[in-house]
Amino acid sequence: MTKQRESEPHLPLTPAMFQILLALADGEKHGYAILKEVARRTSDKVRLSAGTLYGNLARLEAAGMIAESASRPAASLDDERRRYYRLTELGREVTIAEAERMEEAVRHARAKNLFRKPKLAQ
Amino acid sequence: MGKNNAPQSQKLFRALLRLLPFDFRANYQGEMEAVFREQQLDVQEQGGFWGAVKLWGETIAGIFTTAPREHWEILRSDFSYALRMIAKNPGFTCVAVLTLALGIGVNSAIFSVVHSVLLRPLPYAQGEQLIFLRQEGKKIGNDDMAFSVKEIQDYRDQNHTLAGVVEYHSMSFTLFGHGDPDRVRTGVVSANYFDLFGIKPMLGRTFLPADEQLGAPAVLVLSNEYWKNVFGSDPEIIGKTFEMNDRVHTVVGVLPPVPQYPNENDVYMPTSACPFRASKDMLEHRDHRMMEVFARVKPGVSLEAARADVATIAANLGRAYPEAYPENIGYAVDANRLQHELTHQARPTLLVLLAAAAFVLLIACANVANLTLARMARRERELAVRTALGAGRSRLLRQLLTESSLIAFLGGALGLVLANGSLELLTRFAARLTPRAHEIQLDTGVLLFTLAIAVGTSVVFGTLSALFSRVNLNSSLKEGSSPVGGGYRQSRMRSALIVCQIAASFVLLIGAGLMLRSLFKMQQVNPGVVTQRVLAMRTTYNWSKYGMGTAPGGQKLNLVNKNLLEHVKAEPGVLSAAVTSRFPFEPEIIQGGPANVSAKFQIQGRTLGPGEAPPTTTFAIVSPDYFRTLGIALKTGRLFTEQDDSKASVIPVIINETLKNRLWPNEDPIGRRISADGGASWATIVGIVGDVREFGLDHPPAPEAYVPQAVQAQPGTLLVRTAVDPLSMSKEITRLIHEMDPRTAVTHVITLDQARYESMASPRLTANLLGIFAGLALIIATAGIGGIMALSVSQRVREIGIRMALGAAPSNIIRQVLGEGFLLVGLGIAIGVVGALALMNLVKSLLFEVPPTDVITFSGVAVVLTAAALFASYVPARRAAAVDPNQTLRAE
Repeated sequence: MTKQRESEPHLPLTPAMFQILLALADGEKHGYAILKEVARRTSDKVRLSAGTLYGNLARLEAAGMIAESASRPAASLDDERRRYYRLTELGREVTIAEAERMEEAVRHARAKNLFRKPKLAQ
Repeated sequence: MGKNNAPQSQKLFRALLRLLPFDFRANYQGEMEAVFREQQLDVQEQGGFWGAVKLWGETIAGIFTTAPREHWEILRSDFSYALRMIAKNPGFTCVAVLTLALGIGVNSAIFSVVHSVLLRPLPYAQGEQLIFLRQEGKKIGNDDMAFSVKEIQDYRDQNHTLAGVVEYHSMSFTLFGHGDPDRVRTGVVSANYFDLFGIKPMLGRTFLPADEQLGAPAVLVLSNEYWKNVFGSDPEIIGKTFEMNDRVHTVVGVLPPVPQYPNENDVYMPTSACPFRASKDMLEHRDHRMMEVFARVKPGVSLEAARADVATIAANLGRAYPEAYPENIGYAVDANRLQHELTHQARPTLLVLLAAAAFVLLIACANVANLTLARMARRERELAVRTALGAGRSRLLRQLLTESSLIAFLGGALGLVLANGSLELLTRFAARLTPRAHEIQLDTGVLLFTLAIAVGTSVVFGTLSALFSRVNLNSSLKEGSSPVGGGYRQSRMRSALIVCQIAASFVLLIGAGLMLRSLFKMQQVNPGVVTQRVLAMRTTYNWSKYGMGTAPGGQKLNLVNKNLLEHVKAEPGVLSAAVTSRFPFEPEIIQGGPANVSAKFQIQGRTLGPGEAPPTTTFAIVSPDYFRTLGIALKTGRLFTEQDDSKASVIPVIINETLKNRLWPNEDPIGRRISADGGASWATIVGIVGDVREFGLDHPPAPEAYVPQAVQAQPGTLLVRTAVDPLSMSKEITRLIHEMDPRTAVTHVITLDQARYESMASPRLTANLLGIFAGLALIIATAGIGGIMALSVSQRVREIGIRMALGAAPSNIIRQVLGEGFLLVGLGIAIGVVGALALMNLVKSLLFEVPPTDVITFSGVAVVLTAAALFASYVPARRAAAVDPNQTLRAE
């Protein structure tokens, strides 16, 4: 209940923010990796530019939804200019809350028959 | 995109990043560059040219959407932080906002006058093309000889540079048909006069060429002010008829509110309706000059070309009609822009006031900067903590600038309210200097000006605060112990600001002091008349009934005058009475100056050398008791008597001492004869009277000749010396006048004291305004000194405590603190003296018999400023002396 209340003021998220949080859900990443992951997962439908990415990272960091990770990869793989970001507890809660919000919206749409049937079923 | 392009595109990307806020870049720039590099590598591998185009498109769009959002975020947080900070310090905020409001308000107010009067184009169509022609008599020192009908026609026909030439003169007539007979100031103008200025009527029409034909039905156009004040803005006024000069006049139009020059007229009529302008004499004689001339230069023609053009015509006329242009007068024609004519009188005063206002702002800024520095000292720890927590330097500067801007904008807004409140007063003030005063308003220009000074001040004192924060932040966390900070450099800067305030206050006080001294000197001047308890009333008879001058009808007027004086003198409370063509300090006479009432004359038995200018003097036509009524002293000879009339064998004339000293410096002129009509008639000098400062106390007495009313009857002003309050008798005397002829207009009722007071209105108002500015400056600067000394004492409580523990007496401590205050004042005054001397040319033209380096003013101001500063330092000094050494040391 408390967690829900904490995440409420941050909802709804912008699509870019949601995608970034989603990209960090399975582990910490640096900026370029986030960008690649988002593009891959959405089949290039959501393409973040450097400006949009870091504008959103700054905002998420300020809101406490992500944080810079203290751990870094092995020295041989590391580029010291890179920073790695991880999801915070709040970030995870907000992402879940946003996903639930979307799910509910989808449920309402289905209840009103506002969806396309899968092509195979035709 | 080839590999060679990589560094180039990185540079371009880095340039794009500069659009983002500094702090954002500091945080993310390296990463963003790395990401962009990797994106480029991807594109090179897969996308080729169109992939690169797409990447750039997305990148640019991303930066352009992110940058404004980031800037806005920072501004928002700074703004709410600034709001919290200023709410936390209501005292500081109030003082700073009020000080700036005074500084900015004074500037906005004065600037609104300067902008409306000096900077804005004239409210006429292409006002810059309008010029005013002036015929001068250079050799007799007359700068406005006016033009005759024939001359105007010649300038109209012979010029090559002018698109239009119109004439103007102003006369007073009596208007019947609306309540009491009204004496109206009438502009007599060419039919195309208003077209030349591009003035469209507000109601009805202006004049048509047909209106100017001799014998055309008489028509009138009302000025906006007269229509408003006398007819209550009657929308049905067009077509109404009034009687003037025994003719029916129909109102055909009403003017919009426009500046009227050279006179503010009540009504306008075409030239043909003016009985004087339409007289045979005026039409036929080239040397009957009465009219002013306005013209519009053709588009693209310079003022210089127009000047050369009219000068050529003047030279040609001089050759063609030598008898109308005697060489010893030195006829010449010059042209000036109308804008210059309308504003040149106001310019020096307005510039002095603008400079004074700038000084007030300077003092206000220095004071707020000082307050801010003192507050920064208290906020040092807060700022140091913020820096330690990662706020960049530029971020801090931005924060401080936001705070200072907020205060400056609050000050600016309040300043505008103050300026708006003072506008009516300023308009009345400016109306004495320029006909453009009615245009004064707070417009966009003034708003922009206010915005600019608000931004300027906020940048100045915001940067100062930030500058100080750079000096001290590093040390403040380490020191920790000092609750009220302020290192050596900071206190030096505060002292410098105080010195600056004192210097600026000194300059302002000098300006105000010089004006006051000059006003005082002016008041000390002996006017040559006794102004107490004299009533002046303009009595305008219907001239067409009584006639005037030496014409047969003039005798009727003479009888009326005589009769009137007998009745008035019989009134209880009247000591003496006289009729005169003009009187000392008469407002309209002062406005026109001596040249307007001067004429040349000749002295019997004295021939002029070749090229020698004839003598000129002002003439006044007075009844016998004029001198007694005004208390003008008889020096030698005799005054006029009742027997001095047109039937007497000798026409007497009385001259003043200035005229005597100019023409007969070493001989007695009594019995000498002069003629003002080319020798047709001669008048004998019978007496010499004392000089009168008729044209204002700051004008040297003009040469003057008095002619008896009975010889040259003219309507004019009734002067009454009373034993009681003169104004209390005006009703009774008006009743007497109307009993004799109800169609006589009685106007311009004023006491001589009032007229004298009014004649000094412009210098007095300037002195008052400068005095207010200087007073504000003195208060702000004194409070500033008090503040800085108090701060300095509270910073050194420990040191003072130790010194007292070591045996220093309280009086020593007081002396030391006062000494420090004295040092600041001394330095400020020294710089102020240099500043005042550097600016003395600015005020020179406004001063009367006071040199701009007046020692009394300089030393007086120095004493006042020092006394104020010492007084302000005395309170903290007493506090310092009251420090208890035991307590201070124990607290350590």
